[in-house]
Amino acid sequence: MRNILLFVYRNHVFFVFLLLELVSFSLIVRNSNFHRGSFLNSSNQLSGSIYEFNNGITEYFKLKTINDDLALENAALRSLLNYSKYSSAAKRYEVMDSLNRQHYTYIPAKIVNSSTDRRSNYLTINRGILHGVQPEMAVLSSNGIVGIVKDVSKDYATVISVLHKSSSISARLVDSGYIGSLVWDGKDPRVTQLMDIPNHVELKKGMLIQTSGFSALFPTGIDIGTVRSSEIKPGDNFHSIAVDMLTDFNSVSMVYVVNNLKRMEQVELENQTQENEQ
Amino acid sequence: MNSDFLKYIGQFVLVCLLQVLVFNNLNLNGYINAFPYIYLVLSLPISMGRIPVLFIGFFLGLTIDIFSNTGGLHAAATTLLAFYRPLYLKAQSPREDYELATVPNLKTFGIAWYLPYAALMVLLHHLSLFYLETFRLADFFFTLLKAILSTGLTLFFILAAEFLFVSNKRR
Repeated sequence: MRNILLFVYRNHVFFVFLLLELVSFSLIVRNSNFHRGSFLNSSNQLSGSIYEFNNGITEYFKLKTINDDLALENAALRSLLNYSKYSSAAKRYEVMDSLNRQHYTYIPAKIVNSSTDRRSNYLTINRGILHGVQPEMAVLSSNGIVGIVKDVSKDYATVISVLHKSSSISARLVDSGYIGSLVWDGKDPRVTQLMDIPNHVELKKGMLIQTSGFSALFPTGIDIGTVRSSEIKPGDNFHSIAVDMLTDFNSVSMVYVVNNLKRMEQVELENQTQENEQ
Repeated sequence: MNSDFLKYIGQFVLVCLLQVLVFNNLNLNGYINAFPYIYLVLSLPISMGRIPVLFIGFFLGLTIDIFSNTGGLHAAATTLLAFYRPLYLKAQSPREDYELATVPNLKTFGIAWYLPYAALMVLLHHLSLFYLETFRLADFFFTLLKAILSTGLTLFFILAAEFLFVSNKRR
């Protein structure tokens, strides 16, 4: 016993080093779990407010692109309004619309911090529990998809970017209707990979890819990107498709958090079905 | 002692803010990053005890982690660096020993001593950081390339800081 204590005392520097490394590794492991978010991330109040201060300065340099994007979006939305449509019906009937109940609501948010250069990228947005943001809500930009909410504090939330090691999003080829999953190989932040598309499907450069709506996170038919190139590796039954992302993760600054009002209903029903099978 | 302590706290905050607000936004070619915050560990006094150096390294890394959502990646890499630094300093003492200066710097020890010191420290930190980040062997060479190119960039900023701020002062 005395010898052991003596050994520890002689090598105390090494043991302190080992202890600190163990703490670091446990933090890494905690951080990679989806549900057990720790306090130590940029959704906490201190780092959130420092980032917000910084963003208050740098935002001015991006104002022109933001304005262009918003103007485009306004134009698109304006064209959907009733007054910009020609009514060919002679009569109008007013009914309580029970066919089109609200399915999704949107919470606008501003990105106060983001990265694209790591293997696993996150964004921090300035909306939190107080504004109705919950974990596992989808996040969209005006051009396409951005990611999924991970941790939420009072005023901030962190978002797992599509550019993340464990991000996998159900996507649909609009022309053929085939469903695959969208992942990222960690190289170019503008290019992601669409997997699981069988090799008999014909592909052309520029084909549109949208969300499938299967995951109860993203609404159906949100633009993701276009086919950049594809190849079939020898012996493989599936295409390897590179996808040009429509969202520019380096410049995106305004996003919408999607609240799926029927998510719980869908998830509970699906869980129930799986339990019944076992 | 007290004013020294305040000076270190100030440096710590400055280095963290610079890394988080400036250098984290700098990525050349999509995957070359600079992490010059470890300059703080490189220029700690030579005579400082190994335990304080370890803790400074750990908390520096942890602070960067909190701001960049990386769990404990930077803490792990910087602690490793802080553990290895005294061993290197002991093995590579220059001819005049360490009496000339209290901190390792370019001015007193010369480029032939300082460049290998800084390069090895930065490379050690970046290799452990990038391999911990990917944590798989599939991207082995891509990660190696990333680490080596990023080492070059970080080294550039550290040497720039040495030339700009340290050389002017007469020590």
